[in-house]
Amino acid sequence: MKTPYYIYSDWSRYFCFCIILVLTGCQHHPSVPTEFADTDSLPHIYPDYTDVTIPANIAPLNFMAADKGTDACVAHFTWPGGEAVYGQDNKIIIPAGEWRDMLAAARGGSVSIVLYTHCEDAGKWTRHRPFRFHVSEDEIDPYVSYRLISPSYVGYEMLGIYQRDLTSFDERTIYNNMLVSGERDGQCINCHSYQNYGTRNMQFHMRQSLGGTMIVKDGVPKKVNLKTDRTISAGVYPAWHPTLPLVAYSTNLTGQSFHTKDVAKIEVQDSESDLILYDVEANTVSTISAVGNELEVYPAWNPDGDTLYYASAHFVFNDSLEKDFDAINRYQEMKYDIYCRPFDRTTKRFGEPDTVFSASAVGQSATLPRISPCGRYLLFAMGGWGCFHIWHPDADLYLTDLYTGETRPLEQVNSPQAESYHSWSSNGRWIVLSSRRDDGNYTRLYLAYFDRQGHAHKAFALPQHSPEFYHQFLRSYNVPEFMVEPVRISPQEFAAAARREPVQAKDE
Amino acid sequence: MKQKNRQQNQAASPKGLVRTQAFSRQLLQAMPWLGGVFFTLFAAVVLVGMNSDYLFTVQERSLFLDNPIFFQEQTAVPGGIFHWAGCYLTQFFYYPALGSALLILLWLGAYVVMLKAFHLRGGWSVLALIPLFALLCSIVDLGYWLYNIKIQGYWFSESLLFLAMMSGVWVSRKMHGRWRLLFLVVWIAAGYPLMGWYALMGGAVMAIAYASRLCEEQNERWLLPLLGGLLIVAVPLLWYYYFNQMRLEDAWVYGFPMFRAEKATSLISSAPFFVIAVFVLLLPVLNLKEDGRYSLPALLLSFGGIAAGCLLTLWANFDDYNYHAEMRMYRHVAEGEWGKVLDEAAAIPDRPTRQMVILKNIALMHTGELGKRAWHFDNGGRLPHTRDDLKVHMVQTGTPMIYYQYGKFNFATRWAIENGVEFGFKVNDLKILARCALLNGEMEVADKYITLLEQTTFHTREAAMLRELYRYPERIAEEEEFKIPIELNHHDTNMLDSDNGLCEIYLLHNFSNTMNIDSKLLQEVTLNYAMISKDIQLFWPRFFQYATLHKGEQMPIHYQEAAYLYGTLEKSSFINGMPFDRKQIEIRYLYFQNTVQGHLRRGLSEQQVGELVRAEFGDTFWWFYFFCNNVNSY
Repeated sequence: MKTPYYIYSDWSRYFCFCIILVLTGCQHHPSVPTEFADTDSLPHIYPDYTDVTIPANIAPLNFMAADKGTDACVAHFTWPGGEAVYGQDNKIIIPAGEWRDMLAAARGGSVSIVLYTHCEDAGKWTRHRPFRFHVSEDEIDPYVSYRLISPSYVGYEMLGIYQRDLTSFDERTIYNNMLVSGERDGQCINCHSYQNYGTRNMQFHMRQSLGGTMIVKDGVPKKVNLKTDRTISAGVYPAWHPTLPLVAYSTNLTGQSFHTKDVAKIEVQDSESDLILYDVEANTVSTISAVGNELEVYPAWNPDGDTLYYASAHFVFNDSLEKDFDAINRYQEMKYDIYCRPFDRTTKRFGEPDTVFSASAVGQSATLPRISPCGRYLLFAMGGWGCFHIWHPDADLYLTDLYTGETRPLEQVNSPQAESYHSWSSNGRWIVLSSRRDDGNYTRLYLAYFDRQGHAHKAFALPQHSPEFYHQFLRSYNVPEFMVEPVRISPQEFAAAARREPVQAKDE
Repeated sequence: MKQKNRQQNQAASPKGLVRTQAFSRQLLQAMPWLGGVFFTLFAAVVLVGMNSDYLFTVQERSLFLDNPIFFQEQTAVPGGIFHWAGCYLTQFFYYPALGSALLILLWLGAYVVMLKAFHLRGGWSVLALIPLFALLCSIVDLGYWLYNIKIQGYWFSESLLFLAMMSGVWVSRKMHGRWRLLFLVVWIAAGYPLMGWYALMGGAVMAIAYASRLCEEQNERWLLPLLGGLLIVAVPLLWYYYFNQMRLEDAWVYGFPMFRAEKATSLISSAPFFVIAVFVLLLPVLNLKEDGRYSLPALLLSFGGIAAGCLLTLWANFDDYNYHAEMRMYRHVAEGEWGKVLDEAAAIPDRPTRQMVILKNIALMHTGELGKRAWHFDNGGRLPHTRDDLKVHMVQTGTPMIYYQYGKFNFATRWAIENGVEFGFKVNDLKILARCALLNGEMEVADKYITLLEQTTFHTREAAMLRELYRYPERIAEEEEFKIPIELNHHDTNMLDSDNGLCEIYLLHNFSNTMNIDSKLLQEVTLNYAMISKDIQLFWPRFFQYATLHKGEQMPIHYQEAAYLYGTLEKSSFINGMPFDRKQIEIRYLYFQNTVQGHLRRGLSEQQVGELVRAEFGDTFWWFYFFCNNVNSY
């Protein structure tokens, strides 16, 4: 029996939501200070929402004055046909209803914000240079899902995959490992993936206790063991075919080691890596690519489903050493390029690989290829070496125009810290990416508009009700994936499926 | 008629017996007060007198943050709100006496409620002390589970939950008819998310009370227990679909304190809660009422019960010397009180744990006396004492601090986070993380950890100190506390490595294989670790390098001891030219060898000889080299 969708929200979230409702119900509109000094500089706000382009259906972009010593701020919002003033201590909290009305009126235009900040020590107000929220006509997919994980190294405890309603602050659990994990039989979960932004066909992995891959086909969850005699591991990084009941996976033998001094702290390397194709209906696994000295990883389909993109490093192991030791010793030599293979939908066979972008030729390593829904742009992460760029501060997002072959960094999106996992929205107008720009250690989600001319706009943090949220939250967001609908299977249903014996996949 | 009988009895009884009986009666009548007062005094002695160091550590290994995320995370499971409150109150152990006073007040509250709920008067009131002794035991019997516990705010939360449960039972006893029915339903159905197992237990006690003779209304006598039983079965099942972090099989015991590690389960630590459960379930059945008879045996039994509670508590109290000394040493290291660390090390009556040895060496590194005093202390290594099969790992008890002190900021960060992930972040973790981030130049993440420390109640002063350094990073290098970690880190080179969860083995391997000529400090640490490793080949190059770097200085005694020993063992001629201290080294070593050989010739075992000569030569590297074996790192 299916559990109704709404009964599984955490009660504490509900409690907090009630508090928030009460608090926002008390939201008052302060007056703009009458005496102040003007400054030509933009205000220092957190999250940095100055001059960002936002979708008309996004949750309120609450923010705070970030300069230490600022004890109060007031923001004067003006938009076509309206204005409002907000401010509570050093925070700007905008009631959801007023925000929706504001964006509806400003759709296709912008909202101008003049921020006044009050310095506790000086006892004076300052009026800053106005900034804008540019409100796009293009809406963003209503949901994004991610895993929340402490930025841990080896150990883990509670892990959860969550779905966030982007039009509000509502976050719900898709699955939490504590539903089945005991002290001695912990379960790791990762790599959620959806077919073509829908949730009736989706998957995520469970490792260690009650391990297997949770495959949801037509809304029915089933646990599958994808490890066969011919594969080096069970499926790892997934890519659902956009229309067929097929999932491409990499299979990997992955290890990690620790920098004794470098602030990057961790290196994650594969010592073996192949690509396989899982036929969900036939429950069979076939090999896509298993070339010696090639470490193939991160498969991604193009929107038509007739080409599979992936990253691969050519790495000749030293015969005299164990592979994983060799990988550790020569970790900076692992350079991944981006390839593609044509796919015949009828025969389910792949053609020969073709190089799409040779990062190694410029001494770099490119991973996580993602093709825009229009099929024109290839978005990927690139850093100095390796395939796990979230631990590489030099990693940035790059874009290749597949029509012209031109490749360029997404300068408006990148930061001095790591940018890594990224996804396109279903309309191709928004990008969600993982970034460590806030503090170099905790991964946060950023959203960026991608216009019709192929230009990305300034990225902005996934809005939270409290602007202080990211300062206080001790978990990282990873694997952000857009969805056009919520996952409707309850966490308890997934847990029940997890307790069942996995169905063994067969070699084709 | 009664008066007449009494007069007859009095006439028949000797005068002394009458007086004794009257005194017994008065004492028994005062027993609730006496019991409460006695328990208060006893608990204060056990907590403050015997466990102050432990209680201070408890609050360091706990965390309360004044922010909504912390609240939300704590309350995402049944009983979470009490754990949140427990976290808040645990902070007060920063002043062990203050925290203890709060805890004892809480227990006294529970005591009064129990007396009321179960109508315990006179001598029977002693029974209400049983859960209190059990709760006291649950605080002081943890031992090294302190480092493995995943129950947030445990030190107060269980007492709060017990008080809540007893209050519920008391209120239910005050109700009648349909109100009683309604209360039972609400208690279990709405109480479960708030109290977890305690709500079910409270419901069960109410149901049993209804079924027992305490319930006057015969028609409810079976209806209410039946309803209670059904609710106890059904309510956790329903709430399972609401909470997303709870296993179905745990739903009926969620909130019952269980102590499980990867390869260990402690029934001893859970025992107080089993006692409480059995006790509260039995009490309503026993129907303990005063019968008006006061006797000396009853009085003695009451006092005997209290004495038994005290003895049991003293038995349960984890008073292992090393366990407590380790905590004190850790605190002194954290506060930079190096002299006190060395005083503790000198006072250890038996073999220390390896963590204590490392902390002692860190203190000596700070006082610049590694070569002069490192082997004046016991450098052995006893495994931490546990009462069950719990395996203690240094990575949980002190590794982040040790790595931090040795300038291994990444590894310190790693283990602070690993521990935080597994057991929940603690004040202790945040302090190390903030320091490592500051010293690594990761200012944004340092800001985050400092911000969190600022949200605690008693660590704001330290947070303010770190905040100043965050604002003025140029001052970091000038801070006395940071000078040694910075220097060791500065001369370290980056590589990919792993400690495989064994901090000391990693340090031993890493430092004893390091060659450094830029830093006198690091060079001395490498020499020290080469000596700990007892590897002659590693020793010589580091020894000569030390001599080169310290030209014109007196060679510290332990380095002379090691050089003379190794030179003698290798029959090296080059030690002949070395300026060894004749009395302290050459003559003493000869005496040492003669003494040892003499004992061995008498047929004593190596271990026996070691113990015999320890008093005389235990302060030398020679004794360590020959007799300090079976060192257990963990």
